[in-house]
Amino acid sequence: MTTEMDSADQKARHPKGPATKSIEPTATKGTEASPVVTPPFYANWTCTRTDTLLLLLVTGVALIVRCWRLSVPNQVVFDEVHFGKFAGKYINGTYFYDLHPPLAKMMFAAAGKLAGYDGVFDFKSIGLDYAAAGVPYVGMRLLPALLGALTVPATFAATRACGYRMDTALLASLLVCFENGLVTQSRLILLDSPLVFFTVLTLTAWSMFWTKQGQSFTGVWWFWLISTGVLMGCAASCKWVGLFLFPAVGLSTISDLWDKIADRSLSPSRWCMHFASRAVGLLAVPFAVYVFWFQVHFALLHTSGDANSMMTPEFQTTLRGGLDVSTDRDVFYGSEIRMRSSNAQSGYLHSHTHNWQHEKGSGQQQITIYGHADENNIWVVEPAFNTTVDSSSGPVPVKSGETVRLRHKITGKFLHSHDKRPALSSDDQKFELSGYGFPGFAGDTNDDFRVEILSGDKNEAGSDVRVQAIYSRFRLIHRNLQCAVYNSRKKLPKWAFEQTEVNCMRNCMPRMSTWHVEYAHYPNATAEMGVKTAKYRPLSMWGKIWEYNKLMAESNESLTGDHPFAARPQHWAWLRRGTAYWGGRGHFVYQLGNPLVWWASLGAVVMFGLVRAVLFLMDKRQIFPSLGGQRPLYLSSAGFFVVAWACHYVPFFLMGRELFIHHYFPALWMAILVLAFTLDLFTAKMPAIVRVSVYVAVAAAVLHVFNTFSYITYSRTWTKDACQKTKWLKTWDFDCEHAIGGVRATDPPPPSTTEAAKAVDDVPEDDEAAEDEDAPVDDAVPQPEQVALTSPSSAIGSVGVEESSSVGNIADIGNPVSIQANAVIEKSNPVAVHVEPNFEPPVGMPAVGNNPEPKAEVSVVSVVYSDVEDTGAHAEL
Amino acid sequence: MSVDEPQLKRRPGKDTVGALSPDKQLHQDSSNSVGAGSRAGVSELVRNSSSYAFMAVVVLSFITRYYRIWDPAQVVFDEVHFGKFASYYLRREYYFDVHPPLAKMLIALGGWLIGYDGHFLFEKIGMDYMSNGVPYMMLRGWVALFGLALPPLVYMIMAESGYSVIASLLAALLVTFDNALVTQGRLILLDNIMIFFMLASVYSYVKFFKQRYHPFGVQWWTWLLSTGVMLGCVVSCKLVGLFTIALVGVAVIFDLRRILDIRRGNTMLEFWQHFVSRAFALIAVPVVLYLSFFAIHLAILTRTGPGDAYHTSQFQMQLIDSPLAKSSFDVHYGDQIAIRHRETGVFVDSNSGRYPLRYEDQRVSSQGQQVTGAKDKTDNSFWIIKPMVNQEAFAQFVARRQAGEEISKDELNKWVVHHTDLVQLQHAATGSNMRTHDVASPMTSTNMEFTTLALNDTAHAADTVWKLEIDGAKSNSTLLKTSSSFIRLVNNKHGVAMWTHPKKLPEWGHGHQEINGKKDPTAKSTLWAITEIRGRQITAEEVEEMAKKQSGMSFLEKFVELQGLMIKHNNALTTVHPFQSTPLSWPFLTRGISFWTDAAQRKQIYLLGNPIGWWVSNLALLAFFAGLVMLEAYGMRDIDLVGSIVRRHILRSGGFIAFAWFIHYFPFFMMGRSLFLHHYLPASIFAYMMVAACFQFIFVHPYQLFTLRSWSSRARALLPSYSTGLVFAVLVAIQVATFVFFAPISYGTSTLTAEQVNSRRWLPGYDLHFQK
Repeated sequence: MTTEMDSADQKARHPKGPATKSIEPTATKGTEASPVVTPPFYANWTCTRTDTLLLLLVTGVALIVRCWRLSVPNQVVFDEVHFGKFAGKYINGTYFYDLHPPLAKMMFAAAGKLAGYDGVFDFKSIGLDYAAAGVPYVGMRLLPALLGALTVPATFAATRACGYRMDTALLASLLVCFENGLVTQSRLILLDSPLVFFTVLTLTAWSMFWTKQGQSFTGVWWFWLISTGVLMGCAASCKWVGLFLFPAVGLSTISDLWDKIADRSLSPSRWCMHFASRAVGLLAVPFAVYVFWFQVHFALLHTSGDANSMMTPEFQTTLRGGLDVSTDRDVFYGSEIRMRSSNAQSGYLHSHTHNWQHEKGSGQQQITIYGHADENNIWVVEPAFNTTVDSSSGPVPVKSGETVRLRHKITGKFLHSHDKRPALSSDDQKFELSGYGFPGFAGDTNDDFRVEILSGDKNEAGSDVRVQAIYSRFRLIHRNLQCAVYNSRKKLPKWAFEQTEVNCMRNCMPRMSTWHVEYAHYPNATAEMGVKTAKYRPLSMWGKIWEYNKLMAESNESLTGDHPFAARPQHWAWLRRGTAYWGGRGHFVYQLGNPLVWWASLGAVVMFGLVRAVLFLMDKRQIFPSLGGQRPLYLSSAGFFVVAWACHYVPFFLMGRELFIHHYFPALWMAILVLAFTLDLFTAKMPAIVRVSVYVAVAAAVLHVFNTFSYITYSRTWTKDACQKTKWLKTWDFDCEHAIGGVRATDPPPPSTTEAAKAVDDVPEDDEAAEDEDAPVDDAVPQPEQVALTSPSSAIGSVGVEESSSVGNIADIGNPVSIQANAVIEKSNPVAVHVEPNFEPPVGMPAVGNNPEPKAEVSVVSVVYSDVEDTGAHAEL
Repeated sequence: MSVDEPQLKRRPGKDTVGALSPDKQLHQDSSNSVGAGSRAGVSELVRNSSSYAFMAVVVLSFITRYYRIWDPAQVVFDEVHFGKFASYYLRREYYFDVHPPLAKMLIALGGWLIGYDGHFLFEKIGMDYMSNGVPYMMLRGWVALFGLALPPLVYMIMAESGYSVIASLLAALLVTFDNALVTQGRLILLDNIMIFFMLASVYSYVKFFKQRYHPFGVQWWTWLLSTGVMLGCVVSCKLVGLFTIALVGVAVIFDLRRILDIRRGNTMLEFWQHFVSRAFALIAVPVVLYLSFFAIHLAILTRTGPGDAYHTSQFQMQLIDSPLAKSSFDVHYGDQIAIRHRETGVFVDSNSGRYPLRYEDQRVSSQGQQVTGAKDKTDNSFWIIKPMVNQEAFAQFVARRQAGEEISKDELNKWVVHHTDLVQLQHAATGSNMRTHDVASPMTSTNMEFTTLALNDTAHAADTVWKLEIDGAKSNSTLLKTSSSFIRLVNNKHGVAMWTHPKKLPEWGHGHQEINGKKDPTAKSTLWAITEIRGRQITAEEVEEMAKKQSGMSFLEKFVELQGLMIKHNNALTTVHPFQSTPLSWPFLTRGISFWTDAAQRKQIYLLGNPIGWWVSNLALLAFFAGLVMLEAYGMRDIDLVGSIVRRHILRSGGFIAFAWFIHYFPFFMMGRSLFLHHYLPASIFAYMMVAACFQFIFVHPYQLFTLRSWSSRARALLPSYSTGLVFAVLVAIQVATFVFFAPISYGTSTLTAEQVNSRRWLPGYDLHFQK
């Protein structure tokens, strides 16, 4: 230990020591080094009393800034729709699925619980009234506000830990404190405030860790290392965006460990300890934290809920009141079986007395996948066409590789495939599946499917040879077409009851063409056969976490909506536009950053790149600019945060999914620090008085801009004129019609709900009567404050003026307010729409007990069906 | 491990290295000193071993590529496309493809040279060549020339980069006996040609780099320009060539960094000379070449063909016999027009049907007359276009026209329709005007409903006024034309544009598409075209007149349009193909691609690399990276494991090969389009080179002898030691044995029984046909 300390001290004095926290490892090593290059920098900050006072001061200011008018608006705003609802589900313990990790949502649940929220209110749509429903929403919003406020002192500490003076630290925390976007985000029940909080704290802890470089393996050193790991794990447990911390922290770690190799005073074993401690602190600890929060998540959500069907049967069996299946194990010729597509979000192979109606189809009986277990899912296993199985000496088991036919028990038709296109796919790799056959017709070879077992359960002997319910996973390969029965996961049209399409696909991968038997029953079973039963094996903890995370990855990938306020990354950094969160009368919420801070911070990041490039060229010519003595400080601290910024920004360019400006917030914080460092670099050599004046001027400007935009941040009442003057960029599409003087700041005629219903029923058939002045009412608007919340992607929130006018054509009767209002709607598109998709149970899977499908009836008419054309088509195959 | 262990050589201290010798002195390198001693007393055979090795590679490459090149006499895999494109060149008919034209033009050139007329269109995999009279063997043989050249090029690159004869030969033989390169190398496909230019660029750059101590000499310029030309060619074959440009670009940056170092003794002026000459040769030359190939492409394809439809109407009308040019004529007010949606092809239709009072989701409509999109053109699809100005004169004009009065051409021309005109559209069958208003559309609640308004309803007439915008029009005097103009109809009052989407309305809408007002009028999906004027027939004179008036498009305009389309369609290649694969699986070769099957004879062609070769090259890459990290880590402690010359060679040449592999592989991870195993082939060649590099490092000693001189001038002093020869023989033998084992599915020439097929199914992902 002592040698280590010694070496550290030596490093501080000796310019050729290894670079610590340097993004620029070449500066001091190798052949191109020059003695003129300044030594690497690391700070050695310990919190003084003045620091403590200032920390308290900025915390106080930040709390005021974050908590002011926290109760406004008193309605559901933006994605509170989801995260409020999820909090309720945690409180009730009902299982749900969401594409984000659980920590932040659980924090909201805890806040809700403390504030007295009972989990009843369902946060169904934007604009629902909290006060009326008695939801303790202020308590819930207090959590993000608090977390948001704490990022401000953390910024102060991080800046100090990087080695900057107090005034710069104060300026940095002020820039973070008065950043409108961060303020907006931390006043609402959204996941980003916890995410930003943990991100900021991770990097603060990491900066603190660097100040302990001279004290390797001491308690305080370990404390900051492990804290970094824990906080990093928490960030990743809020949203996967937190994972970008790993490259940010990891790159600086690798660079540091690399430089440490050159340190001759460090013995190889010592170096290995450094390596191992980083691996534990920065990889193992965050992983454990992530797993831990998932454990809590599963422990809280113990009861079956409406998201069950998103998960595999093995998962569902772990939920209270979830799937509980027990069936005969062995499948014989003659067994009645129910087959499930062995994939999460699946259902049973199904048929019913309705025929295909699509253009290139056969018109034969539909085969679908249906989530609800009913009689129409029952199939009877029969031997292949023109073969028999001798069951006289006991039931004959179905083995892998054998060819079978599946007869639909109720309609008597065989599962059949032929050279016809399925309902939803047109490429020539996929074929239609149908139910085919009629009395007196023996069938044909197009009814034959080969059973190929892919895997069995290792605890059940023979399940990989003989088909066993639950345990054997198999494919069904059509004998003539060599295609496999394939779950396309697409929703069929109404004429097929919106069930899931299943077809027969050639060359398909096994993932969506794997099936298993979930129910098997041999009608002629005798007592001496000794019927064995099969059950799903509940998933282990790791299995659950793995499945959930896999599903999250899939949903993230498939998130390609058409949200009106979605924004691509290239528009974030220069603040092209914001997001409309909520609109009220005379005031509204629009997520827009403090433009001054965004633009200046982007400039600071770009400037770092330029400075670095110029320094590189000049160094090569052996001119070594010292940047006024600030070179090592600036390059190491700004360098680290620029790399972190890039890690939190560049990967988004590669993402195809729908993105929003709030994804930029972690990167924004890093850019703000770079901005503060840059200001320090410029003013370092100035006389104190000038420096202070510059800082004060910057602060004043930032405060002024903050105040200008505080109306849309805090939903303050505003006038239309002032609002329009604030549109510095044409692309900022906040809707000034919500402000005082705007057309949407006025109340519409308040109709009562009953009147509305009546009026709608009474709308006369002819045009003239429809223009009756009494007609304009809305059938679903109980909230007087709410205006035009239309959602393009879902029905949620689709109530408002647009439809109220459609009831009776307000426009037609010349009501000027409404006409204007609607004209404005079209132009400025003020819709506030929530972002996150609703993870409803998949198609074809209604809630249990709600079966929309018509009852199966064997109708003679539908059985008589000529298949001449069909067999003809096979001839050439 | 202590630093002072005696067996470890210390790296020269910083002081000695710090004093770099200037460029101008360094070049008198060891060509005399190393060679002289070892040259003495070697036999003739050894002296010429390099030439013999080279010739062996050529011969083996020829055999593997041309073995029964006439088999199968059927269309295989993407010959469907590239054979077809060659035919189009020979017919001079316009086609569209996502790849740049050079490789396809070269295929066509081969066809042209042998007198093929392009009559066959390669429509389906498995079509017979013989019965269709296609000189496919010559075509394949021509393309296989490029495939033939790959192993020799690999040999040259390796030898030029300072590897021993035996290591260079190893790399070349591994590449010769790679099944995927052979399969790909003997069919009418692009990758061969692309890889040829890629390796040629690398070879040129290596030659150029070796001239670094004779800057601006003839040789220096020759190889620099050659690099630029080859880069231009590779990127003109496939856009994957951009990776090769990136490879050379990074190498150039490192080189410039070396030149910039003041200790090299270059002045800033010299630095800028270096900089500008490289920018010229490696940026300007490829760009010019790329453009020239497109110019040739467009100069060849002058006739209308299957590619027309991708392009703007202006582009299409430049093509000879374009059907568009024949149906494009001016629209006049008073004409009855049919309006068709560009993307979905439906006609704007209206009928006396009305919107239902209440939709399924309980929203309520205006109950106005339906305006929908119908697949078929009927009487209901015609709308009379009416002006908003001079309405009285217009009324007279219409009256006279209806009375059957002859109207002079000049007068008729007064009533042409211009860009940004305000118009009304009257439904011909029901006599009401098209209208939109602030009522939510049936299926899209954010958009405005489309309906019609009776003529006598003046209160809401403002709803029926449309601003007609012609896409791409630059001035208000642009005339509206049928077919060739794409228009937007933007409501003058509400600012929404007429729009439709492929979802069908429920039963009450007769299965038509919903038409509504979209708030974002600039969307591509709001474009419509006027396809027909009822009762109007075009005369031959009019066609001629049209052709005269036609404004031309410059080459650059055409190029920009085509390039944009290529990028757009390349990114849109996302349809799931059964044989697509993810980049991660490529180096492990977990699955191949079925190219062709013949069920009757149980033959198939299945694209699969040489599994052992690929796995060995993965190991080599891994070993290289591990070794590199170790060398550098020891270097950090000033311990030199291998000596400075070897170290520099490993870093420079090994690093170059490793980066070449990396840059030709990793970008695929970021691509959204569907990807295939053959995208890994360029990278696989560099991986094979890495095997040879590792072989050289481990087995060939003394290493230094090879690193400093060129393959044509080097003293080929060394016969490998016994053990080196043994390792070489074993590696090559395994490669050849595996190659031969998989040859039946690479060539598709022999019938395989089920057992034989199954014995080749080394991994479960090898979904070969005829397993049963």
